[in-house]
Parts: sequence; C-alpha cells; structure tokens
Amino acid sequence: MVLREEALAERIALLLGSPVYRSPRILTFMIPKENVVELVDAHARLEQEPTTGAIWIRPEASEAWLVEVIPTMADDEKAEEPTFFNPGVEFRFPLVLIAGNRRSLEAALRRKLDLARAVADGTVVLDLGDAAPLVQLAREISRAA
Amino acid sequence: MADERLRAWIRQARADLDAARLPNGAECHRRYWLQQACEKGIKALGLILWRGAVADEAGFQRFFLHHHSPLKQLRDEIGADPASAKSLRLLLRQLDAELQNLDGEGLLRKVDATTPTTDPADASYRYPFRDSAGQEMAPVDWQTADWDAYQGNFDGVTASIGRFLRSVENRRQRGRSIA
Repeated sequence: MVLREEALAERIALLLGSPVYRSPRILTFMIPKENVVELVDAHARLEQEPTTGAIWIRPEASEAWLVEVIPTMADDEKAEEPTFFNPGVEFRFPLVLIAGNRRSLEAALRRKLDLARAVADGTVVLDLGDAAPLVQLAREISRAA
Repeated sequence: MADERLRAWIRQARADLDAARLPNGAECHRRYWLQQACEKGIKALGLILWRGAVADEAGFQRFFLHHHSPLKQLRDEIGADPASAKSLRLLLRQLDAELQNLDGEGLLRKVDATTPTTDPADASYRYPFRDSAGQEMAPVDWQTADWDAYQGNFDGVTASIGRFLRSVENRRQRGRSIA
C-alpha cells in the first residue's frame, strides 16, 4: 500500500515538476506555496466575488485547503462545509475551499473547533483586512478550548 | 466512464473547430462552429473541475452543461438567485480564475457571451435578425467586419480556441495518467 502511494506521489511530482520529500517510511508530496499564492491572486483579481482574505490550512494534505473571505457572499450558516474541485489546467492540484463572508466564517470557527485550530495554525496568503482578524479569532477560540 | 464522457466533449469540440476551419463554408457557418467549439471546450473544463455534491449535480447540468453560453448562463443564474448552490458559485469563480491565464485576451469569454438565439433583436449565427440599424439581416449577409466586431477576429478566435482545447486535452491526459 505504501509502495503504491509512494509511486503515485512520485509520478505526480514528476509530472508537475515539484519537490518530493522522502522520509524513512513514507513519501509525502507537498503543494508548493507559490502555486497556492498564484491561485489566491487569481481569486483576488476576479471581477465578481473577489477574495479579500485567504488562509492556507492543512498544508500537509494532498489537496490545497483554503479558507477564503468573499465579502459579497450571502450569510451562510454552513460556511464550514468545504467545496471540492479537481485539479485544473492552471492550478494543478485538488482544491478544497471553505468560503464565505467574514461574519459567516467567524461563526463557523466558533462552531467547529478543528477548523479554528487549523486556521490558527494556517498561513495567511492574502490579507486585505479580513484574514489576520480571522486568524486572531481562531487562536482565541483554540486557546479557550 | 467520466473520462470517456470528457473525451467525447473534447473530441466534439475539436471536430467543431475543424469544421470552422473548412474554407468552403459561409462565414456565418464557420463562426457558428467556432462558437460551438468554444462552448464545448469550456464545458469540458467545467467537467474537469467539478466535484460537487450529488445534490448539486442537477444544477450543474441545468445551468452549465446543458446550456448555450455556459459561463454567461451560470453567471446570470447566480446573479438572479442569491440562494443558488454555493458549489455552482464557486465553480464559476474557479472557471474564471483558470481562464485568466488560459484566455488572456478575453476572446473565449467574448465568444461565450454570443449565445445562439432566435430573438430577432439579437445578432445570431443561425437565424435572421435585425441589425443595429434596424435592418433585417440573414446571418449569411453579414460581412467579415461585422463578425469580427461581434465575435472577434476569426484567426485570433480560432487560435485561441485551438490553444485552449490543447490545454484541456493535456489536462485530461495528465489526470488519466495519475488515476
């Protein structure tokens, strides 16, 4: 099983020209940060519903997990529910988006401790005023838990 | 099965593009096949990206896959209904994000906005319409300059769609090789 996963990860890395990190037992494929930054920049440039804040969480995952603030989205009581995408032509990795307006995402952090912890440990990729306060809230929730 | 479906969309898009390049057809017909090639290529990209919930599959088909001008249609649908499925809203964003580089000149999106229509007040690849001066036109009457203004320069659009379809096909093959 491990061998099959290693072979798969190695093939993906070779195809994408990305680094492969080896450990004695497992081989882990890392999504390069610059690719995530490029994607978030593209989301921020959108004419409709642009992103104003983005946090990359769970960087060890084989998918790119992004929490994105989209101010124009309607209030969402289930903002913590992820939306999945297959790899595209430009962004060549599976993508998982947790998206919503800031108020909805703050409420989601309060409901889902595991999400709050992931955001607290996440990397801010874009911040036009919404991302840092979200991370700050996530850290407060994590500490209080 | 999913790959077979995707291959079929791409294959038909390429056949439409080949039909547009045939030198003997009237320009309106060549332009129509260009629009069809572009439309099917965008749908193929949507099929590649889409991983929405089963509950949203009907919306994906109704508002994107089974419609002319899939980007425009999805945008209109989402604009008209703030409660539309989140996965569809995010799909449109992801398509737009992908197209920022794939369609740097904006030609694909321009073609996408030219929906085949029977509305006599709108220009059409297939049906008579009234032009901006109020004159009754058959699509075959329109000159190259008219089509260029409506759809974009023929050579530019053809090249743009060709590049786009190659990129989508490359992505399909990459996906298959790591499946």
